[in-house]
Amino acid sequence: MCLILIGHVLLAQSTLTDSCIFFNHKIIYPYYYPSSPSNGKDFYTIKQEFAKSITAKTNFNGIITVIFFINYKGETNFYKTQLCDLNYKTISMTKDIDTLCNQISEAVKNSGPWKPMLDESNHAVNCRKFYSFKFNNGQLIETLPK
Amino acid sequence: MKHFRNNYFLIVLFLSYQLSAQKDTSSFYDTYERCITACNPNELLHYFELNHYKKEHIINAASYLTYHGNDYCGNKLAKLCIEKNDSITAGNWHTYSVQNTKNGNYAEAIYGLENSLAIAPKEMEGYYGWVLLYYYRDYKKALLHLNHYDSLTPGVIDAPVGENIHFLKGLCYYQLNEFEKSILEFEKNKVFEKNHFGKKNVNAYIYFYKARNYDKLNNLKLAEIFYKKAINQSQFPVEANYYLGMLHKYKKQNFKKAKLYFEKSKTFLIQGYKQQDSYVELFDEVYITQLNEDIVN
Repeated sequence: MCLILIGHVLLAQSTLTDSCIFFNHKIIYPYYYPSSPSNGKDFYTIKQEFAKSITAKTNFNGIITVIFFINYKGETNFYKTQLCDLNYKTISMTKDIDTLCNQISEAVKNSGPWKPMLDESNHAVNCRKFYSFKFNNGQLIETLPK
Repeated sequence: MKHFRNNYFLIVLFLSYQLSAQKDTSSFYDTYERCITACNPNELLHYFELNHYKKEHIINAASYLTYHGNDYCGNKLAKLCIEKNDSITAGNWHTYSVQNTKNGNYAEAIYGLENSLAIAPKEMEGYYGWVLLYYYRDYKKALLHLNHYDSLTPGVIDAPVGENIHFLKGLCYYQLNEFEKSILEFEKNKVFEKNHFGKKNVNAYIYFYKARNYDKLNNLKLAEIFYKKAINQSQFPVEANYYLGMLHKYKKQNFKKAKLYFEKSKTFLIQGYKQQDSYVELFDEVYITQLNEDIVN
């Protein structure tokens, strides 16, 4: 019984983290189900805005992905940038693409304000969203997924 | 020994919680689908093993965690489980890969796909080509896999993820600016559909992409013919009307006709009939902002 109680306390401490509060213990969905989060712009406009903001000159070959979460209030948090090369091997950020990565991160952070995603009952829920930017010799050739 | 005792103590604490508060899988899911930090993959695996969960269940649980945004925990749990099993199937790696593709974890997803391909190339290569085309926009590599997959079954028209392989190859060539080759693939697709489903049921997007290819080749006569075929074949031809409008606007300087086609496209688009996908943008997808710009300017 004592062990169970301590176990509860330990888990309670670990779950009282930023993320659980941010998500208010509501379910986190992916960006594509049950609906989609919206910033009021279509993807054509979003891509144009990204292209205007991402201007750093590099010779980068690879994909830069920025993952973030939109909570039930439409607030964003937990931004994470990850990189891979065009053979899909994880790579680290280097100094020569530092500006590029910063521009991308800022562009994604400025893509809001977001309206929260709605579930089947039209209740606001949390969701995970990402944008990926594919570069060939420094040229932005694709923005994914939608 | 002391270190072991401490770790063991923590595990017992954790499991005591699990066993008391999480007697079924629904409560397990309930806990981990609502936060992205409170998760220890090693402890989870231990819990699952202790409760005699099968490998498939553990991998599915890991995929579920990843689905709900716990990428690190889900992926780590899946890999720990896979490492401990000597009967991992292509399907297990496929499960791992699919959710990572959808989450934009491309390195992890391709790592999973390469592993699944090594185990069952015949089963996995079609999907590999398909996903590289739509989700990775990696046309050269997609084509490589689609061609190889196609060569494994001579005389059979394959359909990775339900799409005719010639349609997929046609899209790859189209994106690689190899328009003549693309047209040949769409023609093969058309012949197949005509023979199997009848002329009336040929997929309108075969005509549409033939038109796009002719348009890129500046063969305006054939482009117009195929745009019109696509329009006639489809109930709500958003894309064909839009790009036929573009052809009239920019290549024929016929603004009156262009506006007519743009307006038709817009009518269907506003009604919500455009071609779209929940996960990724499709090729030549048309947006209302884009249409409005072209109508005004």
